[in-house]
Amino acid sequence: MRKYWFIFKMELTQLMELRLDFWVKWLTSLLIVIMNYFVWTTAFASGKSFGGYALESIVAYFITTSFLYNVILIHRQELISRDIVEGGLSTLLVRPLSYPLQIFCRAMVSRIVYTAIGAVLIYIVSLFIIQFPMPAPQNIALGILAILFATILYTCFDFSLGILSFWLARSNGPRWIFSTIGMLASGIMFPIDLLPSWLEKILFATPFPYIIYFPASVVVGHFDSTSLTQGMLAGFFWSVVLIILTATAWRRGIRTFDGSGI
Amino acid sequence: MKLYYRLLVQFMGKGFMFVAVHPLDFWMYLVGKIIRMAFFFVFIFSIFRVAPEFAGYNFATGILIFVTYNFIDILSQTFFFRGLYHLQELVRRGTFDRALTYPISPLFYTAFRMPDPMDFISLVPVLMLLGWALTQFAQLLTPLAILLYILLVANGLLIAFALCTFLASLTFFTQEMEGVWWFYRYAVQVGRYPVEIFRSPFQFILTWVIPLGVMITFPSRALLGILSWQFVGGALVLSALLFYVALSFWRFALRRYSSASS
Repeated sequence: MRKYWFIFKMELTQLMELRLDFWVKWLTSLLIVIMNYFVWTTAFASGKSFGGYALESIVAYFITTSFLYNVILIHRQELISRDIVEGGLSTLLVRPLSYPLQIFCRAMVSRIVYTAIGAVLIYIVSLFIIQFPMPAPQNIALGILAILFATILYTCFDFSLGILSFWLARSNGPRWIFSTIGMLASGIMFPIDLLPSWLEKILFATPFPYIIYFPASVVVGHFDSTSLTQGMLAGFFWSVVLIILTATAWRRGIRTFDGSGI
Repeated sequence: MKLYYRLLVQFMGKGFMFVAVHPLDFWMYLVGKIIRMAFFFVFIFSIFRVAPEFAGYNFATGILIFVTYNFIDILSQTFFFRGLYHLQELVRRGTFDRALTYPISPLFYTAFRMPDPMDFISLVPVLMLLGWALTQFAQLLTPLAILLYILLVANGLLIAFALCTFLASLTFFTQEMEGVWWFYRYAVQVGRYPVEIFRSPFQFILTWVIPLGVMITFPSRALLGILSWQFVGGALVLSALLFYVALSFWRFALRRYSSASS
């Protein structure tokens, strides 16, 4: 465990080194929140509600998704792909560390730091820029569980896309299309329940809505007891399925790895 | 001038060869871009279902602004965005030294050396949407309005080039440019909406400071015949000014460049 703690500390130091990148990322999130706020304020100017959303709840949804985007969607696929293609993985495999755990550990550093900064920024935004209802404590507690499932789902999804390079020397295109579909189907652009019902049904048969849409809905309180139970069970189910699939793919992939670049 | 034209053709040819070598990437990127565009189309459709009048624009004009945004974005990505974005890599590896020894402008080489013909092909659905939007207000179209639209789209491209050149110049001062480029990408995406939805001071900033209004909303308004001559003049002066400032800053920043390899 001490080895991973050391990696954790190293990653934290590295993250703090790139301060400009770090703050610009948050500035970008703020820009997205402001953009969404004005888009929906204009759309709701006539005072109508839409698909069960009032203006306040849709604004709260987008603020929450901006926060979750930075906390859950930590991309490591490019790094993994580079390690495989350029042969860097050979060195990492001979070390007494699990490569997948190492990747997970490094991503967790960003997640923890972004959670802390994000919470403070959301509080500041709610005080000075956009007024929106803060989530109820029980919703935050339930939201943490949903975010946990979302983190597992996205980590497996991201890792699987990274290890595609075991089979494809150049996996940029497939990685890009899967990431794009995954992001759009996760509810970042707009709540999935605003989509036509046929598309909504298709998306709910996949794990994507449980990455952003479901945790965001839980935090903002846009759920009833049935949908909450179903969502939690689905999150758990998909987490187990994706862990098994990713672990299987990793074991098969590592057998095909020829260590080019050594 | 002839030399630069021949180089541009050569760079484009190289881009097409790259596509031919990686057909899987090509199709995946193309399909991904079309899916992303389709999702956003559904998003605009959803907004106009809530608000048939969105900041004074109807669905067809909303689509016109969306198409204009895509037009400028795709053309900038096809010709110069990738080259300027990847300057970070040249500087980091020290290979930018070689660009300085060529008997051509280093800015021209940096910007246009890696065009992306894949993006060019994604113009097809955009042109189809533009055709549909134009049929919706055919009675408003005059040869002068069409000419002004083309002129202001070219003007928008010049602004995009100036902004990208300015950002690329920052690479000579800091290596933490990844977040800054992403900020630019998201900021430009704000241009998918009419600037009229933003309240003061955001509207002024997005029209004249980060001139998304001039880049994207102005051409659409000119086509609809609702842009005064003063604003057309202002847009042209602004782009010339930004271009001059960006070039001066590039020259200033280039003097600060110290090779990474020597």
